[in-house]
Parts: sequence; structure tokens; C-alpha cells
Amino acid sequence: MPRDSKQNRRSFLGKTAAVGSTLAMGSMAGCADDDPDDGNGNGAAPDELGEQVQELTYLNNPQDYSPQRHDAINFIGERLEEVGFDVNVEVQEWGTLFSRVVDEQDYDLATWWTFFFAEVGDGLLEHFHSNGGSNYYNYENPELDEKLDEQMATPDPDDRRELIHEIQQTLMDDVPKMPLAHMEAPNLYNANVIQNWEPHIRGFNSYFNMTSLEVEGTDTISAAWPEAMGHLNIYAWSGESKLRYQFNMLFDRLIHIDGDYEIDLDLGLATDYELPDEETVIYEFRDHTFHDGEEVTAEDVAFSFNYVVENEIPVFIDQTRYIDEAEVIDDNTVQINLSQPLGPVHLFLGHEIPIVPKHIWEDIDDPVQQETTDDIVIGSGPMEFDYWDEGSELGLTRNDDHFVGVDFENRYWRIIPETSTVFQLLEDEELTYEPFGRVARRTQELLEEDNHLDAAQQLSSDFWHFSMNTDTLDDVQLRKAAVEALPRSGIVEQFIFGFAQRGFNVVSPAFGDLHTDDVTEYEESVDAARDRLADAGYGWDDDGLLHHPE
Amino acid sequence: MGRAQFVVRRTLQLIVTLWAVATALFLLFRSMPGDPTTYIVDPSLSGEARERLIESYGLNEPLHVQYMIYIQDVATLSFGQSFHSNRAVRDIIALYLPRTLLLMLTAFFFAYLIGITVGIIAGWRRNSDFERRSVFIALIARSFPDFWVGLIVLWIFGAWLDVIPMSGMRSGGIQYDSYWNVELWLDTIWHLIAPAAVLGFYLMGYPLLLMRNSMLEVLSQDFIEVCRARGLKERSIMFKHAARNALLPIVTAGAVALGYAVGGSVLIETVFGWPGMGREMVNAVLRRDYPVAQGTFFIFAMTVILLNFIADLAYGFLDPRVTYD
Amino acid sequence: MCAQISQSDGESIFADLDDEGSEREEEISPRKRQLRLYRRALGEQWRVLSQDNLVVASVITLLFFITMAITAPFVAPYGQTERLTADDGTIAQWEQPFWYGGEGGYVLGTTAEGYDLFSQLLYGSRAALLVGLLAAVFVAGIGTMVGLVSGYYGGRVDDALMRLVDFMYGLPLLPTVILLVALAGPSLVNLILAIIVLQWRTTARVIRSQALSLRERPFVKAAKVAGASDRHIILKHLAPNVLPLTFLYGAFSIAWAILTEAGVAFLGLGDPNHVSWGTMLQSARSYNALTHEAWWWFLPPGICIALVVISGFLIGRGYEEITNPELQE
Repeated sequence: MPRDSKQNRRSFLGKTAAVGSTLAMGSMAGCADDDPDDGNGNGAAPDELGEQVQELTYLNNPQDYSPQRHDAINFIGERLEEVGFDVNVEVQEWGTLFSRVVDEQDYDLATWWTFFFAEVGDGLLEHFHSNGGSNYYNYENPELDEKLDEQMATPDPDDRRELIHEIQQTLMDDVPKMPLAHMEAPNLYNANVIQNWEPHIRGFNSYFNMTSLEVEGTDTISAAWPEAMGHLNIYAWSGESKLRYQFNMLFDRLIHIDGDYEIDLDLGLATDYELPDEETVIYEFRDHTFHDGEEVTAEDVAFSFNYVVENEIPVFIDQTRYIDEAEVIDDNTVQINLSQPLGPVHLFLGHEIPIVPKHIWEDIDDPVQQETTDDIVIGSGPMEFDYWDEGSELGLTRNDDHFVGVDFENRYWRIIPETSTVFQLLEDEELTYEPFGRVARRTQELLEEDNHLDAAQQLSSDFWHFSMNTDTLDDVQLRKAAVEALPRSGIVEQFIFGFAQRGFNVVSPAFGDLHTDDVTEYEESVDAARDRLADAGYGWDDDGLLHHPE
Repeated sequence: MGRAQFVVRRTLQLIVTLWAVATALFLLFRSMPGDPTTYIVDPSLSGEARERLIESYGLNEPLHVQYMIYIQDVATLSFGQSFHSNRAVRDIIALYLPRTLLLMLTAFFFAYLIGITVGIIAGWRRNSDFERRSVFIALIARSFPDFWVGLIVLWIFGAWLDVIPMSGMRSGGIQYDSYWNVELWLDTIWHLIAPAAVLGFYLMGYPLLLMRNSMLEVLSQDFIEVCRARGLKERSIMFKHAARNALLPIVTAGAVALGYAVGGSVLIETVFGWPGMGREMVNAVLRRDYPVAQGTFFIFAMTVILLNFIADLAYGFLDPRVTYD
Repeated sequence: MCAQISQSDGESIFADLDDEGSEREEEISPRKRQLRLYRRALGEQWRVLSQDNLVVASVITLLFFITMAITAPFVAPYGQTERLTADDGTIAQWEQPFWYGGEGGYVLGTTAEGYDLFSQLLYGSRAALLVGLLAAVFVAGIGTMVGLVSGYYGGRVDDALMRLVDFMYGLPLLPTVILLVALAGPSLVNLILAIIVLQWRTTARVIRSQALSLRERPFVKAAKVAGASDRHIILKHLAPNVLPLTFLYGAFSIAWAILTEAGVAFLGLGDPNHVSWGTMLQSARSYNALTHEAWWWFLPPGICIALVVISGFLIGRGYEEITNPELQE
């Protein structure tokens, strides 16, 4: 914690009234007059104090990694101290931080930007199942485990939706993880040139968004990214967004979803699908060619699925668990045999596995180690590889033969680490859009000024999370109290400049009817947190620090 | 001890030193918390996928096996393949190093040319206004953080006056077929001016001050008087006799400063978006891209150590009083 | 124009001190004698130093910053990371200085986080002085000793020490400091240690080459012939002669250390629990203070850094003129 945290304990009255978040308003106003150091708390103080609630280590990213988030974490730390938690905000460089949380679970609280893939069920399984690979909360709930397993194997959409709703309800009541804010990525763009950004679950760089853009007055759209691409090998990919946004354009998928989170058969290679039984899916696909002029055959499609399994491609390893084998039925039909029943088969498989040319990849021994050549970037997507000046710029150009196509001739991404430079170039019309979704005061200003810039703003599945190690915070009342202390509205208003919605459910409203509003809601109030803890028998010592019930 | 023996002994020591550096680098990087997947992976990637990635990097092998592979790589100067880009580390160095050298050597050339010349004159014209002013400017140049000056230069000349490019080493949206395109070169030079000037200004102070001090040392020695007594021209004494002898400390300091500047260029490269080696090096550390980090650190170490080695030998030739014992 | 040569280079500049001390009392207590000599030398030095206006100005500047560092908690209107709130209850972000029309009466305005910039600037002097002075003392001290020992003894000792220096040289400053800080955690102490570990090499190398030359000079040979111990020769004959360089590199070390701290902070690995001028610049950059024309955020820390660094240089230079009579008129 900052050294002078005592002085820091000034009450914060968020702009809640202004934004009209009725839920939190009353209690937020109340806390302004409250003396947070009052050792007796808000409830009846127990005569005897139990053991002190142990110090909580809240890992924070360095400021430059994300200034707003860094500051928000400090701010949350201050609020938790008002409740009586003994919080130690520890700044670690990102690699260390991530490893400490995910690998070692050597943390108590953590916050960063995260999201679920379009297929949310697998993400929930991965995060909240006792054996989940990303369950760094050490969260265990046998009943929930069953539901998590079940939903993945439930093909009936209605039954599955019901299960996912129940899972959300349990999760939001047990709160191992609380979303602070559902991001509404404010991607700036030059409105003189680009129109028609369509909302989409995966944000503005999705296939759906790019193919629905309308571009006028120029052939070329340009953007900036802070980090170099590294490589362009889709099988060596480890999920980085910067590469996802290129691969989206270069490679086709069988299935794509539209802005309403519905499968649209006009967008992907597949023209029809069939599910003859629980472990089989048949795709029919359109006539199409790869960028090198070769036809996309059933051999290629089947190969693309089998190749991923045979080579245990890291980024698709979750998918390979479900694929047994893909086989050619006829020239335009492929059948995928699953190794176990899979509910969300289209989103989880058809939407994720890229279709690659067999004639190029079949000769490559180790696709994961393959370095980038002109061959391996050949796909059949709406844009093809043009040039790559490593570390500086990557250029793609339109594939005129694509069945959906894009409304611009070229797109290039420059590598610019300095944020202020990016804003300047946007102002100077040297960049046409900003794919990174920087949230800054400048974003807001540029939008308010009378200029050519506009922002496409919409709810995606991205969110800032607040995660707790349930080994330390094993009492659900402690977790709930911590959640109630989170100044979510203040964070949205003052740290994210309103480019977000107050977080309330890990499965964001962007997931359409998979999301439910019917989850436990939490007040935003230090008072409420203290009342809750007092009711649960917790007490405060003379320094205002929280103690367990005796 | 004879010269030949000295060279042989120093060469053997050179190999031991390089081995020690290589081993230290291996240990340093492996004791860092986190692994290559922690930085590059989107937090949404599953745990199993991360394990598979680590396996594909060969990081599931026991440490001593990794070390043996690494030492072999170092011995052959191949350094293996980057985790982050799947590219041979050698290729990465071949790509990024020339860019940094372009920036660095330009800045260095002007900084040392101006710095040494002004330093000689300042030392010669002791207590003149010229000396006071030049020393003061050198101190100023050396005192402001270069990234700070860089950002101000960008703000004034880039954002406000709009006379210099804001970022990168080339203009966007143009594809050049060859490196030998005149327009590409002009464009690159255009982008080079601001970062090289900021860097050059910063670097200038060091050779200037060092040269001036060294001149004062030399000028106080007898042989200058001897030169004077022989009736040599002042200009000739200043540049030929005094400056030549005074260059000695600059040779040692300058040689290593160059190698050292490559590592220090990271700040200017970040500010001006210059896609160079310094940034790549720091990114490799942060990404835990061990092969690239080890490779670039080692190449750096080797260059500096070799320059030192050469400077050591040169020292012997330049200063006859040094003996090889 | 040419410097007048008052001494032949065959004599130790402290020769007069060496020859003194014939008084009886001091023969009994060599320590007393030494103390007296140092006191006299320091007094003499200050007399010469105070003649140079720039040096006096620098000393005053440094004293000013030292006072600032000591009195920061009493002078600063707010804590260094005390979150300030505006009248409407929101965080007082981006307030302008009061003399620039800003609200809230902040001397230098507030940061994007709602911290008082003036208070941060005051507290920031602590980190800068700590890093600069500690690093300078250790870098110059370790470097000089290693350089002298190496240059004087030559042979195996020289080989071993110089290979160690080579080894250290093999590590690029900023990337290695970043590596060490990433390894040990971002804190001021780790940063200072990393800077010391990586910086003494330059001093050692330069001092060693000076020592190599010096030991061939007649006065050293004479001392050897006269049977002086190695320790005596190193401390009494070599050390005084390399002092100007030690001070020069000490001064440079202040600069390097403070600038390195700023650079590391700029790359985001500064000590998050201590506000320094470097971390202030980093925040200013992270929040694009210049884009918002909040120059009162970006300029003052840089100017403070430069002032401390320049003061170090000028004092070092003044010192050099005293201790090295060859440079005097």
C-alpha cells in the first residue's frame, strides 16, 4: 500500500448519482460521512475479537502496462482498507504477476483485463471447475463441477442455456471472481473514411466487424498496435489478440456468428450443417479458393481438423480433446467424429479451427516450430498477406474472390509503442482506426472535440475482473464484503471514462440469451460490507483492522 | 613476457570470460519468475494449452539438458529459435541489430566528432569563454534524461510544428521491394534525424568532457614543452601531438560506450518507435523469450568484451610506457 | 593559452604532505597526524572550491535539494500518494496549478490519479538523492580500489580483476538492470544495488589504465626503491593522483544512477511504493501529460533531475581542479 494510506482513507463519492446507478446511490452517499477508522464498525461490536483477518496481497501491474488499471487497483485497495482489510498492493511486472496468480496461486487478490471466447461454456469450465486449468481461485464446488461438465455435453440449446444460467447464479453468489466493468471497447476511427461498425461479441477486430465495414474516399485503412507481431504462424500462435486480428482476415472458419450472437451461414465457409447424433457433425461448405489459386477441397477441410489433433497444436488443445477424426464425405462435405459428446459444437469447433491449405502444411514436419514464410500465411480469408516489415508494419490486401469480402483494398498495421503518438496520428488522419481500444482521457477528449474522429462503442465479452484466492478468503461472507467494497461505478466513470458498464456478472450481457440478469446483486458500499461482516460476527480492533469471529 | 604470449594468454582468458557470461545469463534468465507463456499468452488461454506450449519450447526438459543444448548453441553462435517469433535468433539479430546500429552509429559519429573536436579546443584554450561555454553545454546535454528530451522534441516538432515524423523508421503504407531503393533510404534518413539528434546531443557531453580533461593532462606533460621548444606550430602541437596522446582514454571509454549504447538505446527506441535491438532485448526479457534474450545479451557481451580486448591491445601500442607483464 | 607547468610529473602531488610530520607528538600518533593533514587538506580544498561561483551555486543547489528531501513531510501539503477529492466528491484528477487558473489551490496541479504534484516533487527528491549519492559513493569507491589494485599489482591480480570487469562490461546497463529488477522485484534498494553492481566497472577500468601509467612514473619507482609498502604506495602515491578521475566518475555516477533510475522507471519498473522524479515522469508519460499540455506535470521532474545531475558534475569538476594541480593555472 502507499505509505501514507492512513491519510488516504478519504471517502470517495463516485459520480453514481450522475450516472443514475440507483442501486448504489443511497449507500455511496452514506459512506461519505462515515468515519472509516471507527473501530466499532457499523454493527454491534463483539466483546471478544478472534484472530485478525490475514494481510491480503493484491497484485498490481506496473503503471505503464495499463495506467488506468494500475490506479484502479490502488483505489480498490484503499476502499478495502476502509472495510478493515489489511491490504498490501504489490506491483509486479506482468510475466511475474501472471505466473504468481495462475501457476503458483501465490496471491490473494488480482485484477486484469480478461474475456471469454465466443464459446463461454468452455471458459467457465476452464475457470471454475475444481480441475479447471485456469482455476487460480482454488475454487471448489462439487455441485457446480457437475453442471459445468454437463453443459459441455448438452447439445440441446435450451437445456444448455438453463444450465449456464444456473452456473452464473451459483458463481455470482459465491463470487470467486467479480467483474469490475464490462468493457465497451471505445475504438476510435476516422468517421470521414470508415462507417458501419457493427457490434460483435469479440469486439471491433472480429471477422464480422471487418467484413461489414463501409469505407469511403480511400483504398487503405491503417491502424497501430503497441507491440510487434513476432510471427504469422497460426499454429505457433498462443492466442495473442494482435495475431488473432490478422488470422481472422487471412483464414476462413466454417462457422461465424453475427452481431446478435447467432450463427450466420452466409459468413463462414459452411453452407449447412447437420448433427446426426451426439458425437457426429457434418458440414457442407461452399466452393472457394485459397489465396494461391488452389481450390478449397473437402480434403483441405478434413485435413485442417485432423492436423490440429495430430500435432497437438497448443492454442487449439482444448478443441482436440473433442475431435476424434474428420473424414471426407464428398467434394463439399466433411464429417467430424467427436471423441465425446459436445454441446456447443459450432462455436467451439467450427468457429475456432482455421481452414488451411493441405498442400502447404502436409509437408511441414513441426508446425509449432515452423517459422514464418510466404507460404504459411496462405489461407482463403477475405484478405491476403501483402508484406511484412518485421517490427514496423504488416500489410494485408483484399482477396477479391472472397464470398463475403471487405470494402477496402488494403489494410496495414504499424507498430507504435508510444500512446501519445498514436493519438496524434489519429488526429492527423495518418491512422484510420485504433484497434487496441485504449481507454484514456485523450479518447474522451478526441470524441468531444469537433473533429473527424468517432468511436465505435459496444459491449463485448471483455471485462476487468476482481479475483480472489478462495484459500485465503474461504468465508463467502468475506468475499461478498470485499465485492461490496468495490467502487465499480467510480471505476467506470473516473478510470474508464464511462467506456464500460458496471460489472455484475462474469457472463456479460454480450452473450445474448446465455447471459442472465437474475443473479445476486451487490451494493457498492463500504457500509454494507461492514454491516455484513458485523452480522457474520467479524469485529474490528482499535486500529480499525478486521478480525475473524471468535 | 612477449607480445605473442600476451595475446595467447588473453585469448584463453577471453574464452573463459565468455563462458562465464554465457552461464551467468542462463542462470539469470532461468531464475526469473514466470515462463514464456505468461507474457505472450492471452489470459483466456487454457492451462493445458500453456503446458503444451512450454513443452513445444523444450522447457520441460531437465535444466542440465537445457544448459547443454544452450552451451552448444552458444559455441556455434546459433542460439536456437525464438519462442515468440519461431525465428532463428541469428535471423532476429540480423534483422534488428542493423537498425539500431544505423541509429547509434549516426548519433555516435556526430557526437564523437563534435565532442572530441570541441574537447580538444576547450582543453587547449583553457579558461577561455569557449571552454566555459562548451563545458557547460556538455554538462547540460548530459544532464537531461534523453527520453525526456525526446518526448519534448516529439511534442514540439512532431505534434505542434509537425515538421518531423512521429514514429518509426519509415512512412506507413508503402511497400518497398528492395533495401536499395533510394526513396526508402531518403525516408529512413528523414525518420532518423530526430532520434539521432536527441541521442547525439546526449552522447556528445561524454567525449567532450573526457577529451578536455585528457588534453589538460597531456598539456601539462613535458613533451609539449619540448614540441614548443622545437618551434612546432600551435595547431600542429594541438592536434597532432597533444590530441593524439590525449585520445587514449577516449579510445577505451569510447569503444565500450558504443557497445553499451546499443543496450541503452531502448529508451530512445521506445519514444521514437524505432524498431531496434534495445527494445527487442528488453521485450525478450519481459516475454521470457530465453533464446532471444540469451542470444542478444550474449552477442552484446561478446562485442563489448572483444572491443575491450582490442582496446587493451591497442593501449599497449599507443602508450609505450605500458609493458606486457 | 597553454597551461603552465609548475611541477615535473615525476613528483607526487602530495609530496609535501608525505615529507611532513616530523613533529614528535605526531610521530607517536600517526593517526592524529593523518587527521590533521586531511583536515587541512579539506579546508584548503573548500577555500579553493568556494572561489568558483558555479561550484558554490551547485553546492547550494544540492543543499537545497537535500533540505527538500529532509523536510518533505513537513513542507508537502499532501501525502505523496494521497488521493485528493474535488468538491463534488469525485477524484481531483488533472487539476491545473492555481496560478494557471486551476481549482483547489494546488501549487503544481494534480495527476490523473488525483495526487498532488507539488508534494510528489518534494518527496521525489528523496529517491533521487538516495539513488544518486549512494550509487556514486559505492561506484566510485569500489571502482577506484579495484582499478588501483589491478593497475598497481598487474600480473595475475590484474588479469583476474580485469576479466571480472570484462564480465561486468558484458552486461548492457539498462537491460540488465531491468533483468535484475524483474528478478528481485521492483524496489529502490534493488535498483540501487543493480546500478552499483553494473556501474563500478567503468571507473575501475579508467582508474586502472591511469594506474598503469602512474606506476611507471619515477615517483612511484622511487617510493618502491625506498621500501614503501604496496598499501602505502597505493593509498599515498597512486590514490591522490587518480582522485580527480575518481571524483569525475563519482560525479558521472550520480548522473548515471539518477538517469538510470529515471530510465528504469520510464520503462515501468520503478519502485511503485516510492515516488521519485523518474516515476513521476513515467506517470506523466503513461497518462500522456504532454498531449494534454500538462507541462507542469512533465517538465518539473526532468528539470529537477537535470539540476541535481549538473550540480554533481560541477562539484566534481571543481574538486578535480583542486586535487590535480596539473590542471590548475
